[in-house]
Amino acid sequence: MPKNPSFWRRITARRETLTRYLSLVTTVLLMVVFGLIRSSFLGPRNIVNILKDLSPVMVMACGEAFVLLLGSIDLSIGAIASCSAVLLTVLLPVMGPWAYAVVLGYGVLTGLLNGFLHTRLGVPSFIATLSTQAIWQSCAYLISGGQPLTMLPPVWPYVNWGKIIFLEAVPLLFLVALAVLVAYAFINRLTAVGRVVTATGANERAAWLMGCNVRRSKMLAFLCSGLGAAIGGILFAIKLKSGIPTVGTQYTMLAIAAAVLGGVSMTGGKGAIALTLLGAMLITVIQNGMNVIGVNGLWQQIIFGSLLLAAIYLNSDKSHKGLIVK
Amino acid sequence: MNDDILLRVEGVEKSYPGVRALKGITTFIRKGEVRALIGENGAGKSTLIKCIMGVETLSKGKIEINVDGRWCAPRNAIDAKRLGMYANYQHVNIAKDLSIAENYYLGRWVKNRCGVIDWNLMNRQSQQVIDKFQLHVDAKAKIRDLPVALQAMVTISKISVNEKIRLVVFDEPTALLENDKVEILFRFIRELKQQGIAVIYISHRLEEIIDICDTVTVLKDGAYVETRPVCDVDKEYLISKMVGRPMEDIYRISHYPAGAGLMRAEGISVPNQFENMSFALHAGEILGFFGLVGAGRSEVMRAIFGVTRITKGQVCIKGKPVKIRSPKDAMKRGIGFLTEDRRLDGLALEQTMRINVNMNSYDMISKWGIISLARENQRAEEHRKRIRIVTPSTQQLVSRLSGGNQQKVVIAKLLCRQPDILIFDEPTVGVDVGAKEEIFQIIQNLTRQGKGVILISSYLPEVMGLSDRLVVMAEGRVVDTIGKERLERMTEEDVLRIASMTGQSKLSTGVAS
Repeated sequence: MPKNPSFWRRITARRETLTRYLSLVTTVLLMVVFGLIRSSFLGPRNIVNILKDLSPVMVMACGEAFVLLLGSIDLSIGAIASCSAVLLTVLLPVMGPWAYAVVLGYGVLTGLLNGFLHTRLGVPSFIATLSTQAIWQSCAYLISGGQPLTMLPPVWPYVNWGKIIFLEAVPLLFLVALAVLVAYAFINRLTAVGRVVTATGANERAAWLMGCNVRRSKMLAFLCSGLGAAIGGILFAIKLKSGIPTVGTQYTMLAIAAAVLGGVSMTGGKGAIALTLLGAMLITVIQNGMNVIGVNGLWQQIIFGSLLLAAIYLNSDKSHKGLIVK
Repeated sequence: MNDDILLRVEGVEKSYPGVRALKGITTFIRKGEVRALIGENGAGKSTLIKCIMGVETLSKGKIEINVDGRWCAPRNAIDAKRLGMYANYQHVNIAKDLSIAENYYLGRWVKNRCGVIDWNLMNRQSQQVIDKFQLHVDAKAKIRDLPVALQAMVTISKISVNEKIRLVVFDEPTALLENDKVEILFRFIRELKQQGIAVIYISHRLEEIIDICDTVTVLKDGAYVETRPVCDVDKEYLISKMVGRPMEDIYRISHYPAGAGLMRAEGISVPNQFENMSFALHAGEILGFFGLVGAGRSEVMRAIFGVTRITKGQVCIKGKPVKIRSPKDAMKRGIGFLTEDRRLDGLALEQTMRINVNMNSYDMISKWGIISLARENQRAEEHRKRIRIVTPSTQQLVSRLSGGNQQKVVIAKLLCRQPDILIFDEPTVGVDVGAKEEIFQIIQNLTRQGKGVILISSYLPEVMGLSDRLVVMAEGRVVDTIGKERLERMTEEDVLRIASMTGQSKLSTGVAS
């Protein structure tokens, strides 16, 4: 440990900038490393794979980022995504493209439910969403009968748009995800409700004393999170052409990690939704790269767990608030 | 000789970003000495206490306590406690959902032979303490259910439960107490004194200090003025040292004739906070509010702003009775409120100045619900120039600005909504003289535009110098309303006397108009 105390102060002072570029730099670095190990990693085919894998995480992460900006947390997004994937698979043969609307509606409702529990009943967000997580996970199992459901050929016309690829490298799925990201970033940056989300996370009391509608903004954040999770579930289902009741489970943590790597503070009030793109990218590159070079998949969770901890450490503000989750 | 000294404070300095709160304080306190610490608000009393108690780290100098001949410096709050230093802070600082006994023994539970916490014993012993302090309550009573005065007594009596006490600090202990309770407190202090324990006593009530203390130290603007035995001084002398400097020019602002009535409170009450408050505010007028700690000034304003609910009485704005349920309502009615604690209630510290300035008025710079970034920036720039917020750019984080500039950011934010009624609660706390003057200029400009300003301040020269009329409050009631002419003839001491209700001033609950 260097004797000079200002060394640590310098590091802490730069931490913000450090995290901002950390994901980008690491992503590029890893792509080079993986590319050197297996040249196919950087081939157009794998790029398409990466972008496809990236899409659901990204959508879920920007929903989660909204809630994190509030200083709250949403642990139910994985289960909501799973349930949405299963729902879509079950409903497509019955109602055709309307199934999409139903699933999106379901996403909105789940978000509103979380928001209601948190703002009206005063349940701490991590307890509220931990409980709804259990509920939606169970629903996913019940609807699917505990089995992965496969989409049969009659519904393929409704999901084949997922195969469209532009310029041989950019799948339509990714463009959909990108559109969601842009919309969310827009809401957060350019509408009053969205701004109040960040203000609430930064200083809820002050926001309220200023006459901001804190409750409405909280509802909005949870709504966005639920909707994002549902869209994520839809993307999973289309990508895999099946509804797997556990498909979203591990993505709760990955979405949180992506948001934090993108610079969103766990205590709220700091960060930009657009940058979750970088965090999601890093995560997907690691995931994909490990598959390509043939690392045992069981190792992945260790890597991601450590990554989340590191990201939160770099992003946490130790000087002011002692709280991690409000 | 040296053995006799209990606490050494040597060359203590403390700076916060933008403010030098303590400027080299040196003093020694003997065993069994009761030392008063006096000074105006912002003189640095509380900061010094926090430094002594290890809550704040010093920027310079040292503080040491004599522990049986060894000199120790408390490194943090826990350390201070270990060394036998206890403080009773200004605000009731206990776990409200626990019982009295649980609070007495918090963190140092007594265990019985089986290693289990012995509640019977602790309740019994707590009851003895309660009886000694004549509180007439059960040791198992929850703090939350007690009246505020009793809560304050519990925090005071809590100190006596400790062993090996060396130093006790009382910060405004009597602000919430009635006379008989004050007697009990004084008996406790004399008892501590006999045991050779040193006491630091902070109070605005000078009679008390002359009554109970041995020596008195005066602080002014964070600097040490002098220490004297109490027998050498009288109240007038202390006031002259504390507040008696000539009123400086900064308070000399232009005043404008009062116009039409803007707001009128008629007998409003909030239980346990204030009762039957009546006053009126006119256009172009600065209505000052003064009172000692706990008098209920801020509480009145919070109620008017919709933070707490008014249970009785009526608020009229421009002649029309209104019901204000939330700050949002209040702002719609044209009220702006500069809260007392800008860091806690006013600012998003980790956001930029630009965002903070615009935070409460997005609707005014949006079209179709979409915020115009250009107008947002333009507005921040405009205020930055107009009220001279010193910052390298509007993108600077507010936490990096000095206290005065932070306060100006909050004011800019208020002004964005163009309210007619502005409530400034302690606008100059932690603000240096230059910025103070600028804030007064802003207030002057507002009254010139025909807005009504309510100014709350604990700092007498400020509130006396700026106000057109002064409402003096004590214990949640209006004690007196002083017009400009009468105010000019009064000294600060007169006002203090009215506020502490010790003088012969005729008590009036008069409606000010």
